[in-house]
Amino acid sequence: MKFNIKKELIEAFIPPEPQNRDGFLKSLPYPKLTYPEFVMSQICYIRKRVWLVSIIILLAGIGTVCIIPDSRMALVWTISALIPLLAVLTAAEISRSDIFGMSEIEAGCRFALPQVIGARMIILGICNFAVIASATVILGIFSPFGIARSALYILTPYVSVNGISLAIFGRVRGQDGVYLSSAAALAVSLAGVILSGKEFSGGMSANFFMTAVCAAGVILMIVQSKKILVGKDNYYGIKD
Amino acid sequence: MEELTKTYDKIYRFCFYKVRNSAAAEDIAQETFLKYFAQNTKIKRGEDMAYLYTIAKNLCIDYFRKKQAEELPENYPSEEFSENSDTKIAVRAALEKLDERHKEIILLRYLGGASVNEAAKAMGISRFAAYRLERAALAEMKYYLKGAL
Repeated sequence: MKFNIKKELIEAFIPPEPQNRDGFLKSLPYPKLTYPEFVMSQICYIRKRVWLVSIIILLAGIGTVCIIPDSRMALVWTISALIPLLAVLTAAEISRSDIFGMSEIEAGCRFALPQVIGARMIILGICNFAVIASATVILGIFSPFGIARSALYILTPYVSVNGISLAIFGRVRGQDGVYLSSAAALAVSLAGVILSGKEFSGGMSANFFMTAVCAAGVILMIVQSKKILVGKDNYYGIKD
Repeated sequence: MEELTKTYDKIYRFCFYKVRNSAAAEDIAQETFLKYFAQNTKIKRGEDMAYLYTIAKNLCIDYFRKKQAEELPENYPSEEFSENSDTKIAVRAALEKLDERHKEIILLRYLGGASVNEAAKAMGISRFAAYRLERAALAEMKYYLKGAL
């Protein structure tokens, strides 16, 4: 039999069990992880594809400007059509802790599930805000719509798909939820493309319609997010 | 908490080898943590583990100085490790034959569970030097064990 010196070394020096370890560690006033530190620690759990899609959307905006400089409308609809993809990924990422769970066990042991999901919402919210703000600035500069309307055209597909996806993930678990959310995102993207071909160059009725959809999307997103966080609280009986 | 428990066990094991008494080793391990947290906000892997080992090592030295000066062996009688098969005894004897530097690296790496980086920092040498030292220490141990087993 082969003699494994490393293994033998570890086994040869097993000391008696410490007697006061648990009591000492419980009373040790060591500083716990702060919430900002915890939020930062969650970044590594977010899948690379989320960051990749965020970059692609930004690059698509910049690319459209560079490749088709005259097609200002194309810029709006390219970015608007891609934004739902980001929204689906965001919703899927937020719901992932609930759907698959396993990779967050370690964090889940130290923090309540609503805290883990909340941390992800903060990270993804900041990332998406950066993407949407950048896209809005690009559109504001290069499209004829100006900043406010550009923001409206980008936010509307984002919030509506995000709200719908969160609602879907709340009801349909696993891959089916992903498929349904993707279908919803595709539907919203297609709706945008169809509307772009119609009389949609900024009439009051079009703006009113977009604002109403955007507001509905925001409300749906808030309600669904609250359901995820508060619902988990009740389910797991977590107070803090 | 689980991570802190693991760190505690590593430091305790390290101290036990040094002082050969569980109560004394626990006292030193606990003092190590108290001293550490008096100056730091949290334990980070790498540099801070090396710092913990350094505190523990110095406290073990203090323990022996105090023991020599005050003659306190009754409070902390010497104890043995849990396993006592022939192989284990031979391994321990071989470790005792190593010179201080070799013993230190083996102690940090295998008894204290330190990574090469942590051991290097605790010993104040480069990572590469720690790696070479460990290889040399293991080779020396194998040499001693060849004769014993």
